[in-house]
Order: sequence, then structure tokens, then C-alpha cells
Amino acid sequence: MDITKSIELNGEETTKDAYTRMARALLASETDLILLSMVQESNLENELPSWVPDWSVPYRWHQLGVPSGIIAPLFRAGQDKKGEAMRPPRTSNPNRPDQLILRGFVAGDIRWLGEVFVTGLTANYYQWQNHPSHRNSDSRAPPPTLPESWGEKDAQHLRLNEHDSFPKWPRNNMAARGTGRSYPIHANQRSLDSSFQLHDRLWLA
Amino acid sequence: MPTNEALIRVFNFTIASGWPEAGLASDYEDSAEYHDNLMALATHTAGNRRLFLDCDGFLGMAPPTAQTGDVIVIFLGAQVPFLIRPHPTGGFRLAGECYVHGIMNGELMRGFGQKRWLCF
Repeated sequence: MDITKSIELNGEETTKDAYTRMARALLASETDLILLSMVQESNLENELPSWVPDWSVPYRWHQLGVPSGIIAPLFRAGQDKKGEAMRPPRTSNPNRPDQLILRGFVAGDIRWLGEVFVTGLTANYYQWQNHPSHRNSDSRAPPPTLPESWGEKDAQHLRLNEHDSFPKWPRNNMAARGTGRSYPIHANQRSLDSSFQLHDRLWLA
Repeated sequence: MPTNEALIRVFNFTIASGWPEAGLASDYEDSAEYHDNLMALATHTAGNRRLFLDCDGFLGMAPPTAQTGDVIVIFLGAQVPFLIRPHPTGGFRLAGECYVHGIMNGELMRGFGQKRWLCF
């Protein structure tokens, strides 16, 4: 699809308007919403709509969605069984160009967050692996061996008490260890076959 | 875990954001080579991101800017789930894409053609 016309720069536009217009044009040219995957940090935090990527800022973390024309995508969370991309119905409000209206399922919400992984290893890992001090396998300590019962004992920590609501983990479960009856975690949870609400107009600003 | 898999397997997949499925053969899961490769992947895919658990106990990876209460939503046609944050003035703000182990391959779309989804 020829989108070069619609992403041509117009000298009179503000950065915000240009980015928003380009984002909308790119979104219209694809079926799998890859543009939304490109949203990371922004220098124009309070100016840009949240769904518009700030192209002036380099990526700081791994991007999951990939342009399917270039790389085979790993995931198809919102696509049907055959992997066919369904063209997502979108509507727009002509009076509010900063709003994006999409259709989607609400799958849940975040209840527990871990710390941010701080890694500086990405570029240097292979160098480190091939460093002379690691190359000689004799100098590497053998992996520690665990007693055979370790796995079972450790698993006790991760079992939930019957009346615990998920997630209370790990501190509350550690405290509840050895008390009450344990049950398989999946028994009381959302089944993958249960139905969810489809929202026709989830609007992002 | 809700997906009926071993915790260690879910954790490995999650910190590497699904890559073991594509990049690492599962027939040598216990080998040192597997763990070396997993570490190499995880330092790349987990860098500057954070683990989360959702309301149903699904494990996932979110951007560092995620907050508790962010809503996981699957837009029709999308490759990955997204996080959206309710805004006081109405609507939502996009908080980025996320990995949620167990729903990345269209599992939640299974009943879509069978009119079991509620529309409103």
C-alpha cells in the first residue's frame, strides 16, 4: 500500500500533529496493530496521544510485535486459530484526531509487579562468554547439585491455601506453608475457554 | 500456573518472552547449553522490563512504566496483548505492549466464531 503520500511532511504542522497523522496512516495500512508495539518512552509525554510512538526516542526494551512483512511474527494473541489476521474494525471521531477507537477483549488486570530488570549484558554477553577466563572449561565450577528432595520441598512454598486469593505470593504463602489443604492453582482460576467481554469502543487518547 | 504448566517452564518462557519456543529446542531443557542460551535471550528480552501477575495468576512481562491496575486488553487482529490505563477524564492511555504467558497464541480467541463472546 502506498502510504508515502499520507506521511509526507508538511512544514506548518507541529511535531505532535505530524506524528499523530503519520501514526494514523501507518495504522490504517496494517492489520496487526504493529504501530502500537512501537510505543515506548516519549519526550513529548504530555503532548502526544499515548498511542503515538515518539520516533525521536531510541528503544529501551525488547519489542514483541514485529512487522509481519519483514519477520515471521512469534505471536498472534488477537488473531484466530488459523493465524489469519482479522482486520480490526476501527472508527474515528473526526472532531478528535487524537483519539483512537479499537475493538478488543479485556483479559484481566495487573495485580502484582516485580522490579525492573536492569541489564547491561545485552551487547557484551557473548564477549563475556568467550573471555579467556571462561574459555577453559576446567576452570568453571561444576553446577551445584541439589538433594533429590529439594524440588518437592520447594514446591510446598508455592502452593496456595484454599482461602487465599491470588496472588498472595510469595510472602503470604510462605507463612501459610504447612497449614490447610493445598489445591491446584488452576482449579479456581479463569479457564481459557471461558468467555470475556468484547468491547467495541475502547478509546485511547 | 493457570496454564497447567510447571512454574519453571512458565518462568523461562516469560523472561525470554516466548523465544524458547522458537529459538531453543526443548529436548535439551536441562543442559547447561540451554541455560546459557536462555540467559543470553533473557538479558536481551527482559532488559528494562518487569514481571507481573494478572488477576487470574497469569505470569507476564510488562514495560517498566506499568502500574498495578493496568488493564490487559487484546485488540482484534493484534499480535500481542496491550496494557491500557483508565484515565480520569475518560477513555484509556496506552501503557505499552506486554507478554502474558498462555494467551499469546490466540487462546482467548478460540470461541470468537461461536458467538460466545459478549458484545455491547
